[in-house]
Amino acid sequence: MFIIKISEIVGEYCSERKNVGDKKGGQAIRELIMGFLNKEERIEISFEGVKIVTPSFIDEAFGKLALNYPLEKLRKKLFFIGDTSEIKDKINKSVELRIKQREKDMS
Amino acid sequence: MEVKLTGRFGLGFNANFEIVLECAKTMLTAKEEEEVFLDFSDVKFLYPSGINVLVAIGRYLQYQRKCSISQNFPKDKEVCNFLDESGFSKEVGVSVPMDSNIPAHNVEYIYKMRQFTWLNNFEVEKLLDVIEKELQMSPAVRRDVHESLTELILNVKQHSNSPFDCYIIGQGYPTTHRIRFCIADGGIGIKKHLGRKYEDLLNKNSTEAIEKALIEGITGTVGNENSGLGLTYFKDFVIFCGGSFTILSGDGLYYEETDIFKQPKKYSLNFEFPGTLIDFTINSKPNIKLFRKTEEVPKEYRLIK
Repeated sequence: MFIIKISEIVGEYCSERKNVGDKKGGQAIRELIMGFLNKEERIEISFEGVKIVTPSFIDEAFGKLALNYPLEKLRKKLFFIGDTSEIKDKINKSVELRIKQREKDMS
Repeated sequence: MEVKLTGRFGLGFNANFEIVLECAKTMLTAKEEEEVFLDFSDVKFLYPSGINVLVAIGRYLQYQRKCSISQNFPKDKEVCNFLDESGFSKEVGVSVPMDSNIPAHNVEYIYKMRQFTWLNNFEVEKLLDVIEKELQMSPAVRRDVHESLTELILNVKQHSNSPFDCYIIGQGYPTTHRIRFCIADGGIGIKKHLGRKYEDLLNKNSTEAIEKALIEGITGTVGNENSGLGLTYFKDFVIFCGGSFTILSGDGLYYEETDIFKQPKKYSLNFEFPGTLIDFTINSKPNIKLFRKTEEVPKEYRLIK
């Protein structure tokens, strides 16, 4: 099992898509997840200590995963721990949009 | 060149936007290295949007045409003090004599003009503090507003190509229970941005592009489908709270207020504003606090149907 504590990597404001200088963006989280997705059975993601999460950050970190991996695989391996109902809504919306994009690109 | 500013100078609700547009048009006729003198003497009231129009055009003239900007002081001491408190004069490099005897504007209700060259979340928190002086929000609503503001700033930074990124200024009005805040950039404008993906817009007036930008999920960036959410969120937020918003971009001006009997107003301009300006006016009511639909409302707050 691998645990990703978002606040320890990005800080309490999760806003940017890309890394800006020392400040990590959603891209850093996505790359971290991708690095462990084939190695680990379970990846736990915690938003504890995070104040805000923008839709852009969510899309870059999680939405774009749906462009490269099937939803089933993400469902089996990614687990969001703690009180994440608000954030989960955003993640679901973003993943849904990216799946639609992938289907459109393939057709 | 002398530009005469008069009346209630600003865009949006209660402001005389024709004067602002006329001044903007005149300023933009300045030639290379010309001195542009802003005559503030007859200004009766200054709105954040009025100041942002001037700073956006002023910066454009300074960067693109090497113009110099100078100004005089409003006769009205309250306006003079606001001009100083807003940070405008500092930005254009002129000092305004402040009359300390005039308690013109409550300083804690002013969010001084800031240039956002990077996403500064602590500054966004300060702006939210000013908004919250007039508009009570639950922590979840405050978080939503913070995220949407951040999204708006990021959109400007990522898509506008503005040489100075953006300026934000805001003010609360405790007597009329209103909050106004304004974001302005000196970038390519909404039409050119959306035109990368929706080419048909390039042959139309900017108001068409502005209307399109107000639809959720619309962005000019291929591949980032959920961008552009900041603007639609604020549109909904303003409509929910009762208020209005104005978007000035390129050759178009769009104005909408919360009144089902009033259609949004669209104006084709006979000049190009060098960038995009978004102004929000939000109405607040004392003793009213905003909660998210999904939140549990504490007992001391009643839900009114």
